[in-house]
Amino acid sequence: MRKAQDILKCAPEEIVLDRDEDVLDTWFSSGLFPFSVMGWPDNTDDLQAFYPTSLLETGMDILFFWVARMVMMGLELTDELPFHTVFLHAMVRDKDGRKMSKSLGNVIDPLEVINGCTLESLLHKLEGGNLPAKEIEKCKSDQAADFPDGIPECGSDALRFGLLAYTVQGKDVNLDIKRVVGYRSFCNKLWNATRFAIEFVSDFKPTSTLLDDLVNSGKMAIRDQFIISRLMAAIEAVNGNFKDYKFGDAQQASYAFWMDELCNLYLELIKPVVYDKSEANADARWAAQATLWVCLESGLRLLHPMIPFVTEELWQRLPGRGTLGADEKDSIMISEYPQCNNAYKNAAAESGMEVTKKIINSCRSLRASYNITNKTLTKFYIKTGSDADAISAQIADIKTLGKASDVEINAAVVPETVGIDVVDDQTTIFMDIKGLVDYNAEIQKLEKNLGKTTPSLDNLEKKISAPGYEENVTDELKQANIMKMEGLQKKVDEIKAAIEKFESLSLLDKN
Amino acid sequence: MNNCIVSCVSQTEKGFLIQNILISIKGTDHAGIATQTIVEKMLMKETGQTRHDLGREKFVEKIWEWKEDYGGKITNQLRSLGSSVDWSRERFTMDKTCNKAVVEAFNLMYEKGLLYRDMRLGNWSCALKSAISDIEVDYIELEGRTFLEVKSHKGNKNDKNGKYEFGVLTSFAYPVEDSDEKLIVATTRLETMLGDTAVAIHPEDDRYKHLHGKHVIHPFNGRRIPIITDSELVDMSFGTGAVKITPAHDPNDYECGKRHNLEFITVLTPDGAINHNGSQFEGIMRYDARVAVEEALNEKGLYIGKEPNKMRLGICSRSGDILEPMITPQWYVNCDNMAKRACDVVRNGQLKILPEENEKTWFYWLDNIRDWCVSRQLWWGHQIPAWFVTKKGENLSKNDMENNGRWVVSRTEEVSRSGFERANSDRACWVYRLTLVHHCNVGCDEESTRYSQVCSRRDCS
Repeated sequence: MRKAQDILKCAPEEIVLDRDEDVLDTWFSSGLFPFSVMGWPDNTDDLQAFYPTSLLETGMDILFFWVARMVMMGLELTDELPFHTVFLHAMVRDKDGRKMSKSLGNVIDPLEVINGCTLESLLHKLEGGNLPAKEIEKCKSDQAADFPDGIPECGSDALRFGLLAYTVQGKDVNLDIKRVVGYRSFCNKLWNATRFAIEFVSDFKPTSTLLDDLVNSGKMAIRDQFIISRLMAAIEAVNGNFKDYKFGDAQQASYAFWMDELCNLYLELIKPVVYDKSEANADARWAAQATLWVCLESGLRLLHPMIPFVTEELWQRLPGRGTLGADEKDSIMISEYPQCNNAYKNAAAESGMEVTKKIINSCRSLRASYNITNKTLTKFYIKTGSDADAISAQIADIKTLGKASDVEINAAVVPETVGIDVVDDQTTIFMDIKGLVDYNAEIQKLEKNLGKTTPSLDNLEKKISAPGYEENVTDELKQANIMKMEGLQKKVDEIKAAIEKFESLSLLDKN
Repeated sequence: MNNCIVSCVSQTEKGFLIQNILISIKGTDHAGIATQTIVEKMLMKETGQTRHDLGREKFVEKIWEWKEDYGGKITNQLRSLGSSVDWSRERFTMDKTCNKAVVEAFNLMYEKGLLYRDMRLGNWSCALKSAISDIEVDYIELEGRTFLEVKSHKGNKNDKNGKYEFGVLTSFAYPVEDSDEKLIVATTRLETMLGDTAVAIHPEDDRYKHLHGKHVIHPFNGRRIPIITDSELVDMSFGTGAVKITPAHDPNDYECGKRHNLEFITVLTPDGAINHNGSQFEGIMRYDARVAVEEALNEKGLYIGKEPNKMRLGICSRSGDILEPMITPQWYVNCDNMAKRACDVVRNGQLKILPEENEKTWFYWLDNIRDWCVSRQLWWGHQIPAWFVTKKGENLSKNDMENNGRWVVSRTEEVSRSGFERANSDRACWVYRLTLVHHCNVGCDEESTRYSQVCSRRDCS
């Protein structure tokens, strides 16, 4: 009013003020966000304490609409950068790479993935929107094709873990619900495995300094040292990836540790150790339990920011909770994020376990090739050079996972009734199959297979030697045919060798 | 998406910042155009009313109702996702705190001379009946003759699918005054000829030297249109070498109009029909007028023909309507210096943008920035804190730039008491954008030290 009087130089009652009816671009107010939320223009405590901020995290699509405006307006109005780092995440698109938009009717509500929903309710949502009738029909048939059974209930943990898996820098996220469903199985696996593992440590009493106690106990087996070393590596990788904003890699590293190393390997290896409650096994059992407890506890904290709900629930169920002293946190949410201690890495244990894994794989593939049932244990002979010591130290683990009744290393005599698998240039494995295999049945099976493979090879040979082949066929195709022929030849040779082998074995049997 | 990422970042920060406070703030904006459009459509679907039927106050009330409902849904989504933010610091860009900041920022920028009101050619969305800014324009490339559906049009009667023709260059003739001669011009937007106020030729063009200083006659309203010479705009070798000039509806013609002090005749209404300047075509929607003008020219024997023409069409990213360049009074922010500073901070490493490949686009955009049109002809948003001042009985037009000095920008309560007290909700407000607008603030505060000095990971680790 005072300004109006200045302009018109007349009495206030003579002045008519007519406010501009228009409004401001939304981005004008959004551009002020980093400091307006702190109470600017008032010099509030929040503004003093928290402005400027550190990180701005938003979608790539609004780099100019929003981020640039905040930087420009922040510099202009507060003379400071509103944040020092901007991280832009990619856009979530549908599985075919199309933008999720109301007009395509392909928008997926996170709640529909978290809670699951029926096809009917997906279709019903389209009707409630603002789409024209003929587009609704098109969207409906698209949705029915994509989600014939609706969307299964995946939970937020799986959705979060899935979205992170997609976060490979700069790439758009073509969200396929099937992949999220896959991570739901991971969450289930995490749940089941941890609950199963908790049984293993149900009589275990952790201490607040358990990891140090364990490492200094002198009771650890190679497998225990191995998994602690891998835990440290996973912690280091996840922290490093978070720091570098490589969220997909962080997700991968934590997933691999839990699935491949903890659940599929370590947990299997310690079963006999934990079940054996004899006095003689007490130390080994304690070390296995302590190692498992440390891995579960740290592993859950490692996963927590990615999978918040299940990890909290499981963490609360770990035995010993509430007995760990004054510093024990009430929730995984406020406990410290795991940090890597390089002193607990163990290269020797890791390489020892690598050798063990190779041998176990070899044992398993031998058993599979002779169709040995799970219930039957088999005897293995291992011929090896430089790995002899490493293997000797791991016989128990090889027996556990290789389903071995016995393992002999560099035995003077190996029976003739064996199946053979070459691990590498150092090591060969022999499995005694005496009495386990019906040679004649095996020979019949192999001959049937040979009967199918040989004609394919003959046909291909004929094709290649036909007149005009050299001139008319592209180099690419020629190359492909040669590869195919080599493959078939190898298969034929292998089958023939196997038949010969069984024939001689069956001869041995008769003798 | 950002919710998961921020959780991860916050977690690691926590590891580094033991003993320090870390806050994560979430806020949502009021998405002016999108929200208003959705509620307008809903209103139409439910009651058959437009926002004008309801009136501004009632309509804004409707939006608040809708926002409370929809906002709750987003809160629910984020909480279900396990978002770990400081919910007590939640903000919404239409709340009271944010409004105070907006008014202050507008005033400060006005006082610094960065914010001004001007009448110029800008992007006009007929569907929204509002101006939009340059970055809200999407472009589609037409390789040649293309038929498109157009918003708020009933459909082209000459096309079986009701679509309208784009990507053609139409030629027609202007009769030269007091002569039998005709001057042939060509255009991709035939309806704009209703607003032509000159025909330009190249000063050196021998074909037209005898026409210097003469006029052509507008076939529909008899207006005398000067033939002008302009070496900047006219390419002698292109077409006939004569160019029709519509200063009020084309950026190049606008500049030409300013150079030659031509008349600026706007021929469109805000919703994209032909206005009273369009003679017998008044009231016809603009692309229907394109067809009608062609037919009328044909009747008069002035229509020459058309050929396919590669061109680019500006689309309103908010409504999908085809944009029209229109001269309207709007508020603009001069961005030159601010953009320069925003580039400098990235160049000198003070501001890091990840993934780094985005820096290139950052520079490209900011180096080529134009003034930012910040006013919108909407009802949902922060009303501009500017008042047009008149004495009782005076009858001045707000839109006349002669009267620009009568605008007062102010932050005082006395004059700003105009409807925004509605936005007084201090409680948690969440809004409706599925594109989550999310601000993560990672900071630490010990004994009230300025957090900028202590918070970066480097400093705290």
